[in-house]
Amino acid sequence: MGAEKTDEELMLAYAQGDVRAFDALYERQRGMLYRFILRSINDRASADELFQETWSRLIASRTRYRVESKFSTWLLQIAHNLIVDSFRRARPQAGSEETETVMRELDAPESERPEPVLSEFEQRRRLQLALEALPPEQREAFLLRVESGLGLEEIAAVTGAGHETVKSRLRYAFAKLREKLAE
Amino acid sequence: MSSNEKFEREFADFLAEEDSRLAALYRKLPQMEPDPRLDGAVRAMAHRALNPQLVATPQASSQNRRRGRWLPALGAAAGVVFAAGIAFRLGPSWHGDRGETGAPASDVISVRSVDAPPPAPAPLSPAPPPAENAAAPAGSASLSATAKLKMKSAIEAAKPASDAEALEKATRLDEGADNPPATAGGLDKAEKPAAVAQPQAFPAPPQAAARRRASELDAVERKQIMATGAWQNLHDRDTRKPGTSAAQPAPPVSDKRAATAAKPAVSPRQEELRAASPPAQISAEAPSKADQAPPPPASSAPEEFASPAPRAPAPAVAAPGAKTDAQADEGTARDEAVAPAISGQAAQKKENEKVRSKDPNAGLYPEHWLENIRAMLRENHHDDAVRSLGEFRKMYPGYKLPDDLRDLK
Repeated sequence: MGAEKTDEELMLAYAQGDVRAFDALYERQRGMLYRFILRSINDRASADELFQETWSRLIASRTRYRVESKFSTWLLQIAHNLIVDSFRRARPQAGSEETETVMRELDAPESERPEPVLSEFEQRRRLQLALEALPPEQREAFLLRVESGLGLEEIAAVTGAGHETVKSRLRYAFAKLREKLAE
Repeated sequence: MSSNEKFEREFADFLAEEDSRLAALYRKLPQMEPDPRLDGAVRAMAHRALNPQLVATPQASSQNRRRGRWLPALGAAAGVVFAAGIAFRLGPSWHGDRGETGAPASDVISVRSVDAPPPAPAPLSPAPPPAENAAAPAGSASLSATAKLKMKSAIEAAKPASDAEALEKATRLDEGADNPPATAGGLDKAEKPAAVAQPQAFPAPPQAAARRRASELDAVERKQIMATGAWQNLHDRDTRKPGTSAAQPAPPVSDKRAATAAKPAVSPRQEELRAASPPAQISAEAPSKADQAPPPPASSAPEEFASPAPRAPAPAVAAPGAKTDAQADEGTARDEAVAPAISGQAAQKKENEKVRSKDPNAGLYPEHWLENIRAMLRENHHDDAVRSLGEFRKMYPGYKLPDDLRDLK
C-alpha cells in the first residue's frame, strides 16, 4: 500500500490524517536522514536531537506541504537548516581539530572503528577520516550526493547555493577524498 | 591519459551516479540508523499531531506530569494573591486607624462604641436611652476608654465619695492621656467622629491646645454646664456675633499659657462636680418638684446632654477676642472662654433651678424643649405651649427662637 505510493503522495496522505502513510514514509527516509545528519555533525547525541527536530518540523508544517519538489529534498532542506544552525551555535565552543578528535571516537561503534591492522577496514577508516576533515559545505554536498542520491540541482535547492557552487564544492570534496584514499 | 583527465572522468562518473569507486566505498561504511526509542518518539509525535488524545509520547507524558505537579502550586499562589487582594481592598480603613493611633484595633473599637455619638442627629431624637448608657456617651471624647468606664461606674454608684474619686481618677487619666501613645491615639480616634459629625464645632484646631481644651470638656463637665445653664451662655456665644456675646472676652494668650491656664480651671470644676449631684440625680430632681406634668425619664437630662455633646465645645470658639485672631489662637481662646463660663455656673445654676421647677421641659436640651412646644401646638395645647415657651424665654433669654415659635403668643 504505502510502498506503491511515492514519498510525496504519502506526505499528502499524512497531511490529510493518514497516520499509516507517515509510518511508511518514515520507514523510507529514516536511515538516509539519520546518516546524513550524523555524518554532517559527527555527534550522535546532536544527531538524534536534530533528527527528531527535523521530523517535528515536518509534522508541524504538514498542512502547508505542496508537491513542488521531491519530498526528500524538502526533508533534507529542513535538516540542512538545522545543521547549519547547529554549526553556528557550536563553532565558538571548540576548535576543529579538537572536535575532529572527539568525534572520531564517538562517531562509530567500538566494533566498527577502523583499526590499522584490519586491512579490510583501512579504506573505510580513511574515507571516514577524510569525510570528517572536509569543510562542512563540501562534506554536506558530498553526503547529499552520495547518501541522499541528489543531483546538482537538488543539492543546490537544499543548500541554497548556486549550481556551479555546488559543483565546485563537490569537485573539491571528491579530490580530497580521493587523495586521502590514495595515500 | 593524464591524471587530470582521469580525475575528470571519475568525477563525471561520480556526478552521473555511475559506478564510482568512492561511492562504492562510502556504501561500505557502517549504515547507522536511529535507535528504536528515537523511532518511537518520532512516530508518537506524528500520531499525536493528528489525534492528541490517543497517543502521548513519553516526553509529553512527562510534561503532563510536570504540569500536574505545578497545578496545585499555581492554585495555592492564586489563592494567596486573591486573599492579599481582598486584604488590600479592606485594608486602608484599619491600616489608617492603626497607623494613626498606634493602638490595637480592639481599643479603638471600644472607644468608639462607648463615646461615639449616635449617627443620627441626636438633638432631635425623642427616645432617650437608659440612664447608664446616657451618662457615658455624653461626648466625653477626651477621656480614654478606661477612664470613662471608671467614671461611668462611679456615676452609676451615685456615691459622692466614690464619685469624686472616680472623677479625679478620670481627670488624672485624662491629663495623662496625652502622653501614652496608645491612649492618645485612641483619643484622637474618639475625637474624629465628633469632628466629622460637627465640623463647625471643631474648626480644625491646629494645635495641641485645642485638643487639650476638647479633652477638658469631658462629659461630666458638659453635663454640669448644661445643668446649670452655662451651656446656654456658651451656646449663645457660639450663635451670636462676637460683638454681642455676653461672655467675658478672654485675653489672647499663647498656647502654652492656655494649656497651663486650662489646668487650674479643672480644680474648681472638680469641686463643683463634687458638690453637685450626679447627672442622674439632677434629672431626677426635676420631676420630683414638678408634679403637674409627667416626669421626664430619669435619663432625659443626661441623654439630652449626651446628644448635643459634640456641640458643647463649639461655644468656646465664640470668644470674641479670639475670633479675630488667627486660627491657631482659636483653641487658646476657647480654652480661656470655657473657664469663666464654668466659673459662673454656680450663680446661674440657682436661677435655672428655679425656672426648671416650673416646667417639666426645663431639663431638656433647648431644641428638644422647643420640639415639645411644637408637639403641644400640634396637639392643640396652645396654652401649655405658650406657657412653656414663656418658661423657655425666661430660662434662655438670649436664645434665638425659630421663626415658627418666635411670634407665638
